[in-house]
This record gives sequence, C-alpha cells and structure tokens, in this order.
Amino acid sequence: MANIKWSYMDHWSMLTQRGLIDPWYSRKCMDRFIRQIVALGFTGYDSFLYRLTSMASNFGGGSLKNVLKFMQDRGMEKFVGIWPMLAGTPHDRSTHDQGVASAEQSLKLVEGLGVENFIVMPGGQYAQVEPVTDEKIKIMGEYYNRIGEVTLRHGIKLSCHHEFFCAIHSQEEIEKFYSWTDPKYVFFYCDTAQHVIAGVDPVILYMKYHDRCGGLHLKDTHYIDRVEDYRIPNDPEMNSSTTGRWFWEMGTREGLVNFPKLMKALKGYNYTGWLTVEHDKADVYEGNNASSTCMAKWYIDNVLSPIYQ
Amino acid sequence: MPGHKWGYAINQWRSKPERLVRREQQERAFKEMSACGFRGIQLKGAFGYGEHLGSPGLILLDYGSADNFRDYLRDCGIDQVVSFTFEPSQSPSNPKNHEGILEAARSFTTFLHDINGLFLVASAMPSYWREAPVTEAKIKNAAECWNKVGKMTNDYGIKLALHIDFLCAVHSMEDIDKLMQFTDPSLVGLVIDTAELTVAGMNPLAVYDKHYSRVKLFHFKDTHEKDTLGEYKEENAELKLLTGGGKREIERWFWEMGEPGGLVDFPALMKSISARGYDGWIVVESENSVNPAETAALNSWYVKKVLEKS
Repeated sequence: MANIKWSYMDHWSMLTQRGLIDPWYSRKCMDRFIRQIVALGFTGYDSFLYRLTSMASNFGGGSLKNVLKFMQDRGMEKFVGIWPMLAGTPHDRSTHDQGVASAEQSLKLVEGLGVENFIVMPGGQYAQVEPVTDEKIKIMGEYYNRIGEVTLRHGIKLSCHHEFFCAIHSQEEIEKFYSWTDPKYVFFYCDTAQHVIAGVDPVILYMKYHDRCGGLHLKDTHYIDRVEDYRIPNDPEMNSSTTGRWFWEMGTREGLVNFPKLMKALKGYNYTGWLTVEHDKADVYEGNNASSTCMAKWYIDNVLSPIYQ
Repeated sequence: MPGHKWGYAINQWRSKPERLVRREQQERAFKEMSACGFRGIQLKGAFGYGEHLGSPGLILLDYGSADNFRDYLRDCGIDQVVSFTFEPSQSPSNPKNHEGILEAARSFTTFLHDINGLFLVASAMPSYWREAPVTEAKIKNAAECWNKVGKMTNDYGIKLALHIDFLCAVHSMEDIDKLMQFTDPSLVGLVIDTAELTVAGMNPLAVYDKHYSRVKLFHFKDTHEKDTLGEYKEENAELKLLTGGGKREIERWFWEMGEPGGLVDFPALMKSISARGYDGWIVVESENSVNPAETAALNSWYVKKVLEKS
C-alpha cells in the first residue's frame, strides 16, 4: 500500500473557441479537465470553495455532492484541500467574529464531503498589513486559533499556506506565528515555491513543523524575491519587477526547489497521505496546464517515487 | 499502461515543424507522452531542411548517432521506437519509380534497424486525385513495389506495414482486398487507422476482421465526420479538404478517443483484437490537436478507464 497519494490543486485553464477559459464554468470543460488529471494519476482534488459552488450551480443541480459524484464517475476519489471563503481581517480583532461566522458557513457547504483541509493564507497581503509587528502576528494567531478550533470540530484541519507576499512570510514571522498559535488547531501548510521565493528553505520548515503539517503544495520557482517584490500592493504574483511568471512545474532545469531532499525528509518522518501538485498561473506566456501537469507527473514517476511513494 | 502495448505518434506535437526543433521542445514532447503512459513512439517521416525528427539524416545530425537518440528517448521514458512513417515522393503505381522508392525506404529502414525499431509504415498509394483513375493495374504495380520494399526491410529485421489515409487512392474495401491480394503476406502487412478508414467511409472493424492476419499495427484515433461529399477526389485535397476542412469547413478531423460525437467503435474493435489474440502495438494518434498534452492525457484516460477495462 502506497504511503503517498497525489492530489491536484485546480488552477486549470484550457484553450477553447471562446479563448482561454477556466473549466469550472462548463460541464464539458470540467469533464475534459478531470479526465486529464485522473489519467495522470491524481485522485485527490483541491480547489477554492467559490469554484465548487459555481460548479454546483452550473452542472451539479445546486449540490456539491453531485459535483463530487461527477468527478468520482471519472476516477477521482475525493476533495482533499479547499480554500474556504473567509471574511474578516486577521490582524483586526474587531472582525474576528465575522471571520468565525464565515468559516462556519463554509463548513456547512462542505459538510459530509470528506474535505481534509481548509487552506488559508494567514494574514493579508504584506502591503496591507505592514508594518508587521509582533502584536499583529499575535492577533492573527488568535484569529486562526478560533477558526481552527471550529474547523477541527468538523474534522477539518485549518492549514496555513504562506504566500511570498503574505504578511507572515519570512522565517522569523513564520516561527513567531506558529509559536503563538495552538498546535491543536493551527496547522502548517508547506508550499515549496512560495517559501523559496521568500528566501525560506521549505525542507527545513517541513522538518521543523512536520508534526503539525497539514499538507504540501509541490510547485517550483526559478526566482527568489531579492528586491522586496512581496511589498507590491497591486498583485505581486503577477505584477512584480522580478518576473511575470513565478511558478513552474517540477522538473525544469532552472527550478530552485530541492524536491528530492523534500521527499527524503517526508520519508524520514514517515509522512503518509496526500501530496498536492499545484501549477498556479502556469498558463502565462507560452505555458499551459496540461503540459505542465504531464511534466510534473513525469517527475513524480521518474524522480520522486523512486525515493518515497 | 496495463494490457496491450501502447505507443503514441509524435505528429500531434509537430503541427508545424518549428514546434519540434529545439532539444527542450523534443524533451517535453517525449516526457508528456511517457507521463501519459505511452512508452513507444511513432516517428513521422518528412523531407526538408526544417523537418527535425522527420528523417534519419536530421536525427543523426541532431543526436550524432542512433544510439544517442535511443538513449535520449530512454532517459525521457520512451522505451521503444515502434515505427517510422514513410511517404514516398513518387507513386509506387509506376514501375519506373520503384528503385527510387526502394532506396528512399532503405534509409528509414537502416535507421530503424540501428535503433531497434519495429515497423516501416508506408503510405500505400498517393492521394486519389493524383492517381485517378485508380485501376487494378496501378494497385498491382504498387503492390509489386511494396513487395520489393518488404523484402528489403525484412533483410534488416524490420516489418513493412501499409497505411491508408482518407485521401488515399486505395479508398474502398475492394481496393484494400486487391492490395492485400497482390502483396506477399510474408513481406507486406497492413495498418488499421481507425479514423482515416472511417472518414473514408469504411468500417475499421470490418477491415480488421477481414484482413486480421495481415494487420501488423493499429493507429487509434477518432473522428466526428466522414467525407460525405467525396471531396477526396478533388484536386489539392490535401490542402482543401484535410487542412482547410473542405466545403463543410470541418474544423477538426481527428479527435481524442472518448469524446462525445466520436464515430469509431473502439470497444468493439478492442473486443475483436483481444479475441484474435493480437499482441502487437497500438499507436494512438491525434494530428491537428489544439493542445498535444491535453490530447495525450485524454487518450490516456480512455485507454486506462475504458479500453483496458473492457
């Protein structure tokens, strides 16, 4: 029995007669999309809750269970990680009640679907929060402690995913955040590329927080942010001075993430469960998701699985 | 990929030759194919300066030797060169062309031999409009040519299999019957190309059931349209019908397996293939794909979830 199962984080787009579109608008496009990722060995599905609700209204007869069945009919096993729709401003205590209420609404929507993680970016964009003080990190920690307690009552881990432009993105900020949050309620989500861009080693982070790691996003990057692009207020993932494409599939020559080292660490800690492949904005310039995902699958089969599977 | 031996044709990655020139373009195509579970490759023969991977000469220029190319393929997850397609620039229906065709075929054959390849897939005859009127004598002449070529390929341990596309002068079951009758079964085999035969108005299952003992290779691809207006007869059908879509402006002739509207009955064909104990290669093809990786993944899903389960 395999220790690792592979999930796919949905940022898919496909070229159609209507141009480049997200497949979740259309039953036909979703059908093609799901068959592709199932063919490439992904049996878990990660996405944003707003996408799932759109699918439910578009072709699920209003039901997320129907959307899940649609995927299962094509070989998908389950929903794994979902980005909920949270209101509130984490570093503003006065909005926390609103945030908890929105978490409860999201939980109701996914009730009974077997979702394992609610994945969130802890805190807003850096530019909206700075200066990032200890006091603000503590207030954000309070917020996620409350949210995590609520989600865990429903069997779902609250896992924090640190974008490179997130208010909590440096090694020091991350360490403070996890020291001021309750390990019972707040889990660490390791996004390999985001950490590398932020100048943080994702393998060392994983090793440090392995006992509270809710999951991992495996994607690569060719760049480290050396010029404080994380402070750009208007879309640092797309509008930075360093590059217009931060994220790449595993296996490119210029890739900076040490995936073999990560797999050895996962093996060392006997990690079992889902690993999620993500290609966020891989369709800019000449890129396309189908090609990136084939290449990632090739890398899994030929490099990662021989280390640990 | 479980069950049968599944390969994939490179042609969908080179809708234009410049899409497959640089090593990183080729590497990506090979790895996409492999990741989808297709570990055998069919190369597409083509002549010209920019037709990389299209001829033994250019492959040797690019890679230095057949061994280097085979090693590169293996590093990318491709274990077997299944076949190389060969479209002679002259018609085999004219005996004066036989020697030239034989020599042109030899360069592909020796390369296949050097790389441990299996099949030379030759176009049986040129397009109908170039060859018309198509007479029994012309088919017989073409058959004689392929007997000579088949003898040559046999000497190198390579099998010859004739391919019939929907523009081909061999355009009916009756024509195929004659071609098979006039060729030596020990030297010349047949490729069943599911979509090409279907567009031409034939049933690939019926062709297989009739000539199964001659079938050496399959090309699996689907189509949603037939050439209902008989436009294969018109001058420049390659450009006007195949590329341009003809009078009905067909946007796409060849589709992935498993799409709604597909005309080929693949489960029925697979049943017959299994019943007859065929244990050779099945090469999946989809030239003119909008997105080659997407098409390969969709075909992979259909093979794994439908064909290998039926």
